[in-house]
Amino acid sequence: MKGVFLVMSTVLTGLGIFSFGLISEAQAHVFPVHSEPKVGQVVNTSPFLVRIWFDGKLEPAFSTIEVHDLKGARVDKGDGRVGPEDRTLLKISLPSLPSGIYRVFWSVVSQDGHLTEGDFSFTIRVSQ
Amino acid sequence: MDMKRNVVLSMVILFSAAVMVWPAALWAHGVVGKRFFPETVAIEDPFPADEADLPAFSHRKGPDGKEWSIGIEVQKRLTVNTGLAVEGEYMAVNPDQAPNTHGFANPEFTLKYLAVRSPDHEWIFTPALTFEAGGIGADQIGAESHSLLIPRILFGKGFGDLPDSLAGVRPVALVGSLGLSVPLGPKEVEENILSYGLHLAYSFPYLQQFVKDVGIPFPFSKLHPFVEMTFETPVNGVSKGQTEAFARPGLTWTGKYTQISLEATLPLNDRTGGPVGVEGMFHLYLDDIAPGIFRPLFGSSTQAAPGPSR
Repeated sequence: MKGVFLVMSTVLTGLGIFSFGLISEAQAHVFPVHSEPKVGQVVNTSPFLVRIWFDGKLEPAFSTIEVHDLKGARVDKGDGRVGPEDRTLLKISLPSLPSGIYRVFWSVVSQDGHLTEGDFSFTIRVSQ
Repeated sequence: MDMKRNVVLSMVILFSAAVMVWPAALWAHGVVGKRFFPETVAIEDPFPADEADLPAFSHRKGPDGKEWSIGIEVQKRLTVNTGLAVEGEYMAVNPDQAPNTHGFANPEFTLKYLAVRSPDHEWIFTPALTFEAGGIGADQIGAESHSLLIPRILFGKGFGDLPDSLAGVRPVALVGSLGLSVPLGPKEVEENILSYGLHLAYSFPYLQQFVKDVGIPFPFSKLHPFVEMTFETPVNGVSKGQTEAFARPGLTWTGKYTQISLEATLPLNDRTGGPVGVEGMFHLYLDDIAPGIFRPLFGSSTQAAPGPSR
């Protein structure tokens, strides 16, 4: 019986290793790794950019980013873009913003067509 | 019996092979809106997907002895919302009062249809039907000689739609399953078992990506602590009302293409045995590994089930 389990374990381990071998050139859903400002962060000065780094390369034509205030008004400069020096980076410029809570909406498509989207907030609390 | 067994086992092997090589597109396994639901361990997962458990395993000491198992499950999307899973399992039983024995369990085939998908509320609803092919597995490990049909309802719900005052709870997600087994055999084996369970998980990735980046470093940032609760209650027959219940705390780690899950199996009453058992799996997201191959066999790869859009 132990022999049977040994054989099966060996075969399955081999399949697992084979599957990992497929991974190097594969693409998949992409998710954020980190951002500036950070998700939920309180910052003391208005940032010039919102940047989000993802765990895979993005398709520039189908990846978008917007920043809104609490009333839903769009406050960014409208120049959201991928990279171009880094295809995992999605960024957008901001004007000087007053204190408040802002929400970043992003929608990205990985190079193989998988769509992911999300949003997060950050707070500007300008020192007087 | 042997011929029937060989035919079904051949079908399982052929189906698995077809899944591995079928040419194909893409839609998200386990993704609803912002929410990613990892594969559940002990209860049926509500998502049709191109995925595989390679392998799943368990060890448990029950009331009558020790049990080991190692299994494979391969799931293939027929359409973007319809999936067919095939599951095979090899078991070893070491009874306290009898010689050790081992053999294959009956294979299971599960058809599921994702009927409702609500990205805004991170909610899905999936009816499913499992067919356990009786008379294929080994008698000595308790494989039934009759077949079973198990209609189920499955759901998943993420709590990302909670208000800001409850932001800390947004990473929580719940998956549930409710099914009733219907034996396809002679009257004397007729016993219907109600099986139900919940999978409650807290997603560190969701916390850091959408609620607050608290600085959890990789690889811990990919963890999903969870607890599963599973119950089986015969609703008729000699064991009517005698519920077997387990609590299953565990951890899931999700990578880009793989998932590793490990859980303890804690019996909650005398009928489920004494010491702690263990169950786990190494899971492959085939549709992410090779989206050009592992795609729905028919129709669009991106048309989701009806529901509100973002």
